[in-house]
Amino acid sequence: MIYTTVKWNVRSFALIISFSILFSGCKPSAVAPLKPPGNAAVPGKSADETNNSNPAALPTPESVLDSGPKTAVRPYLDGWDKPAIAFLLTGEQHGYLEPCGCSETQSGGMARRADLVRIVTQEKGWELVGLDVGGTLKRSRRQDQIKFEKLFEGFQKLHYSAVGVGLEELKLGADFILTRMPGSPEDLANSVALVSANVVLFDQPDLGWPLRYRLIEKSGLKIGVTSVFGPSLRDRVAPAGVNTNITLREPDEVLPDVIKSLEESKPDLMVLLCHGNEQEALNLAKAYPQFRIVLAAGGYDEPDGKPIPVGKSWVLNVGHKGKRVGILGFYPDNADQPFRFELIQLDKDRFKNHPEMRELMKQYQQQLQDEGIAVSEELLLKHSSGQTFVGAEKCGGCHTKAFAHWKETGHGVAFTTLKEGPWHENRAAEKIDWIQRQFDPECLSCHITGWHPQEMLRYESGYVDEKSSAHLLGQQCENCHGPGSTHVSREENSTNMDELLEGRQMVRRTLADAKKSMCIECHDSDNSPKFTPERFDEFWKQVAHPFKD
Amino acid sequence: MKPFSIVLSLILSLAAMSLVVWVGRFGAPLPIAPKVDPATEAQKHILSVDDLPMPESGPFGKAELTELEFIFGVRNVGDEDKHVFTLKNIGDGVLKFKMGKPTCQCTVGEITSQNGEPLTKDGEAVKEGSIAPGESINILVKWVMKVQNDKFRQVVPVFTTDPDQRKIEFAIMGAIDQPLHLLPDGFWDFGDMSSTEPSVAQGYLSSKVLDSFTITEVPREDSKVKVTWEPADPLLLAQYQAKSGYLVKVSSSPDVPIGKFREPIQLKCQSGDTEMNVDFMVGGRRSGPIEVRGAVGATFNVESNRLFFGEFPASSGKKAKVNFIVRDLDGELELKSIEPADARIKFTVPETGKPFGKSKSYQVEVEIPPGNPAKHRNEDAEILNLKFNHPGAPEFKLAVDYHAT
Repeated sequence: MIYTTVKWNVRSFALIISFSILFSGCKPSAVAPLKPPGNAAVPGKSADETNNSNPAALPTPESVLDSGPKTAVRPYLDGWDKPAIAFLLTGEQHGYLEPCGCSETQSGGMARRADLVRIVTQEKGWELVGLDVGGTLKRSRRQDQIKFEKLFEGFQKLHYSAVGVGLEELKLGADFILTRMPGSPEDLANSVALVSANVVLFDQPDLGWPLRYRLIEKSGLKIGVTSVFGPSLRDRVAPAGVNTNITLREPDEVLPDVIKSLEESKPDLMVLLCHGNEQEALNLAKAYPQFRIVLAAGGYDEPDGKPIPVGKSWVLNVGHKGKRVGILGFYPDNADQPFRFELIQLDKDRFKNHPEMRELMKQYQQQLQDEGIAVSEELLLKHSSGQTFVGAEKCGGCHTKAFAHWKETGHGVAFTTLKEGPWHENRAAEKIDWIQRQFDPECLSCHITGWHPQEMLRYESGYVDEKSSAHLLGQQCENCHGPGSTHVSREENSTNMDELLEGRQMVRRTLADAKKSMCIECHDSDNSPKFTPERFDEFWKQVAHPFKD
Repeated sequence: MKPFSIVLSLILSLAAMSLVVWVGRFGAPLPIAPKVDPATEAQKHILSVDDLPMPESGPFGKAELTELEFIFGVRNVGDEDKHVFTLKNIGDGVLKFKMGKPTCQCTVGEITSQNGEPLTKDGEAVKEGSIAPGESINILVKWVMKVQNDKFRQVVPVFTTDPDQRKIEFAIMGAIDQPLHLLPDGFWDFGDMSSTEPSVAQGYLSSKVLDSFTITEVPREDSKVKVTWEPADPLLLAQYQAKSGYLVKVSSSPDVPIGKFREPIQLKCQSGDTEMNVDFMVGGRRSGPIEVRGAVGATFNVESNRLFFGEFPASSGKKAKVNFIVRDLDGELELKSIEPADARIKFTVPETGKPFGKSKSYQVEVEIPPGNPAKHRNEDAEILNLKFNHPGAPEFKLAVDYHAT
């Protein structure tokens, strides 16, 4: 019976192979697209839990990043019953498409937000509506317009219906806001809408944009949403005396009509997005109890996540920079407790980077490159010293040891990290599928020489592009010591000792200066969270250059 | 089963396992274990109450707190501060505690002795312990104020075995301001500038932390932009919760060129011996007879007058809607012709425009029809000359940047 025995062994061999492959894992797990809802679900599990519980899944690049030392992973939406509808509540993102700052350890980012949306809609099977209170950007340059457009593409994929018009949106200008207006009612029905009851553009209340309110019909429910811009922020939109083509009406003038219009549709729930300060939100919640939910801007950057009850309504804060998002569950059949709310921190331990949002980030970077944003005149700034940047090689002509040491530091390879990913050994995994950022002014300003690091503006003689400014790549001497043209010129041409000493004085910086105000320009709390006064010495050791040559 | 079969099965099993391990070793990248720096390890904290189990039986400790929040008011960017919270056990049993992870690395919580010294064990900061009934511990919270933030709030959580207060959050709250604050901050936009009258914008430079300061100089090279200042109305300063400040007026002459205009402004200031500069940008736009203001389905760069379609399949083509704003035209806008005449790109101008202030807005459909692949990026963008019926702008040059694959 050799034949039978061999057959049995072939079968067992095949079985062993199959099980072994299944349990050891030979192909990475695919992340489901955000739309339409898929069926690869492990209900109730977070992305990480799902990964960990599935031994067949090899780590994707993102999950490799997340494989660092962990303590307990906090549960979220724990013990929630499935709501009739859930809301994804966000706001005051302030331009952070990615986790707050350039450190992966920071929270937030559209890619992790998308992972949460995937979990809620696909794993849990909940119906989700996204609402944002506005404040999506930080500035109003062309880069911000591009970011706004990409952000809206992201919102579209993440089930958003309405975005309130906030300070940062108004700063983009009336005409730009108008460009977001969909061309037809059909387009509008399928688009994320800008909503404001009290913002009027070009003195035309009937312009139809932003929408005065929006009625969302989903899961057999009708949700009425409107937004107001708080009068407390009026002075911050534009300097007095200029024609902005933006009129801000008092909320009390417009809300009664909006409520009346919404009530005609017999909504199951009315939501107010209030882009003002916290007190305005509380006042409006009290004055208009028809809004059972008020999503408020102007709260603390790290709110406590507790709803503020005002009568039967809740005022909710979600914090800044997109580090956290709120999930609100609506249970219309539960008259006593129709809502549940949880503020969820988008940390790297619980959420993966969803590939669709990474793709959006790639497209964003590509567009910055295509439009030449970093080289545009919009960013030009005169240096207050009147001097020009000469580049580290010039400095190294005399300061040979300092120059040689600098080349070995993180500062020396700062530009390369934009192209290839972080240089630190413990962040090597981030290099996989790295999205290049060497055309992004918000990144460049601290990775090259001759830019204003916080304003992200280019000094006239500062870095322009890799080809024409090869002498200014990386975080060089002059970013701290100031542009060196006078010092260099005098050292090369002058024999007058007073002039030489004056030139040297111009570029002299003390350790106290560095500690107090210089390093923090780039090592700020977003981009270098570990850089604290207590750890200054530890950081300084890496770049100190006490060489006398 | 025969012994031969058993032996054969075992051999095949081992071979299979070895094969799988071997394939796994080389067939897929191994996870790269991040190297953890000591600071990160030292900062490991527990994240949930599950890491501090309750004792099986009582009596339990009970936490009493003198305060949960500390409001530090308004401080300067770059300042550091600290505050001591006290956690007392007023229960009958021992109260165990563990420090949680602060909400920001700019904020640190330490257990200290009564004289304020951080408690350490084997050179490491003590992060957990027990408080006997009637005893208390001090929790020193230190924070660094790195950037401007009107609503700073950071939290140091402490987990306890008080059944009613398993997680206690000690919060630090306040506002972090620059010494000098410009209102509105950032870019001062004149908006649509008049061709006949000077454009004027005004705002405030104030301080919530300095009792007084002076604007010493505003260097100007461009005579088209003038800056003046005067002490601000004290009532207005009070409204902004400022201690000192100036009303700043910027005016621009009407003869700036048509198109976008931007100008950097620097306010040189002094308070005591300290010199400070406040830089900001002013700008605006002198409109021409025809302008493009944004697009849907593509993006438009006003500075380079360039429409970006990006990359798309040549077989499907791509459409966008582009807003043309038209001034000083009797009747409706008409597109007479396009140069070059054989341009692939099609334009459809609506018969009537929508009123748009004193102008009219036309949402023009721009289509790159399905066809052969073509790459027109950067300097190879298609340059089109649109010929309109507008006497003030008979020609309008537009660059179209796309890659049909």
